[in-house]
Amino acid sequence: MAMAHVCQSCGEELSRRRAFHDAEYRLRLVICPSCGQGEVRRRHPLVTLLRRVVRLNAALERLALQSVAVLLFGTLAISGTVLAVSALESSLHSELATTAFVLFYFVIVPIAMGAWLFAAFAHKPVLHVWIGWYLFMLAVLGLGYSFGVVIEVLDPDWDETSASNFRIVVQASPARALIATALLLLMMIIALGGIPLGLLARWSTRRFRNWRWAFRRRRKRLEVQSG
Amino acid sequence: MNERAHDNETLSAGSGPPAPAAPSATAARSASPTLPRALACDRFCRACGANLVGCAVEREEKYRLLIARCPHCGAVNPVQPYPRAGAWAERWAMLLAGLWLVFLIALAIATDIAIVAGAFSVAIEAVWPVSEAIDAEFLAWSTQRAGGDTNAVYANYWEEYDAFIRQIGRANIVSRIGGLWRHVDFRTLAIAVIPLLGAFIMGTFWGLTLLGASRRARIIACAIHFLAVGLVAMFMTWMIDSFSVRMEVHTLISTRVTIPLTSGLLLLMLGSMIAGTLAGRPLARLIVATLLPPRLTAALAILWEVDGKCPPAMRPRSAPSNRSGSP
Repeated sequence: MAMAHVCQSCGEELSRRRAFHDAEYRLRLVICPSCGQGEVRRRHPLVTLLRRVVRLNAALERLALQSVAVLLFGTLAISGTVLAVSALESSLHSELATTAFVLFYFVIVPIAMGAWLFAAFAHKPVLHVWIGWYLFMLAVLGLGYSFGVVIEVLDPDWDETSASNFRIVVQASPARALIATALLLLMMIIALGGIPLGLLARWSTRRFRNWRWAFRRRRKRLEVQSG
Repeated sequence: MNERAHDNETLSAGSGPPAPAAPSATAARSASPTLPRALACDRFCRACGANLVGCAVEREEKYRLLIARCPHCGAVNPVQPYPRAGAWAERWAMLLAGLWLVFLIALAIATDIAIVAGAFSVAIEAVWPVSEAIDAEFLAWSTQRAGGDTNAVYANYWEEYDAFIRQIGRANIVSRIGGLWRHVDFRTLAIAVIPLLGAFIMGTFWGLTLLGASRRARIIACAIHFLAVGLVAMFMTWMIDSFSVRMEVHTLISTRVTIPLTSGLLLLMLGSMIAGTLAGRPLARLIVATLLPPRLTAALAILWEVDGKCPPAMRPRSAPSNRSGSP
């Protein structure tokens, strides 16, 4: 049996009345035959709840994707910086300074990062996003440095053979810190090359949304017209 | 948020005498009177998904409907209530609420265990050299007593240990090693950074989970948990250490070094957890507002509303009827 739908003005039962579609408000409405009050046919709360869950799910999915992107690009940029600092050390890891390394860490990663920064943070001022991201990466490097200091305090005789590239950067050396900061800045400058890609991503997303919206509206209209 | 209660509120605000006016397509929308009420809870725009909290409730004149206009896309959103769902929906809701409560209690216990374990593990690591100093003293004493035969010492290790404690005495053992605190490895306390960070993260989680709790309630809940669990854990440690005579030395270490050290660490972790509890919501708001566009932020608007703040607003855009791409 249909759920009761009572006029809020006079109490008339409206559940058996056929609803019509108001083109201006885009609502399904019923007019009370006795008092003329308009009533909206609303969805069942369970359906509304489902829609809210779907909306929440969409938000959480996007949040998860963004977090993964932050981790991915943050890790790639910082590891690239750390490895480059290692490569600049003449005695250690000089074999890292290959064309493939430079191409990957200083061309592909920054451009992809720039495209992501431009496309995924369209709701924020561009300058804020780029400066914020640069400061975030510097902060992560600073945390790594602090972690290295803690390890140095705990174990001053840290085995040199197991020393990682990370250790080289976190060692208290103003020169290395300056190089790491400059390399990150260089990455951010190269990342500007990703802006056209980000623009393309934004444009295609907008076009797709518009197309989907128009498609759904056309389908709804056909449904309404067919009764 | 209780949408139904809100519906009743908006309706009570807007309910007036019956409106006998027949529907008229030419009624002027601009002349619609605004009621002296606004949406105080979550209600999403059906067109763009923006949260309409704070929007004025109007009685539009065409159908005399109670509506709220979306400030972003201009869509009309009805604010009428809906008949209550059946009794089973209420029962399922109660069951789910009960299950959620049980889950939270279990999680609270797990949090307490994790925090106490973190504090104890750091303290035990720091105190370990004290035990080693006493053991070294015992080995020197027993080897001398056995005439240099270490095999004889290890053959009757516990008996020898009991004899060592009884003959030398606890106070003398402490004085022979030069004091208990002298051997504590304070450098190891740097490891406490990890449990402190864990406590902060757990505090952040609880700050987000207990959305209904005020700031003071969250701090008091943290403090009571720490006090109760810390006391129980320390009492149990003391009891276990006191089971046998040979554990007397360890009891001594526990009561004089481990427990004071653990108490200090627990206090630090309490501070870290309270900081996490207080910073959790602002941190979550910052992350959500940074990573998500306002269109999606509307679904998580509760993060702002619990603290009486406004969720991030969307940029105004043209009404859906003016959108490009329409057929």
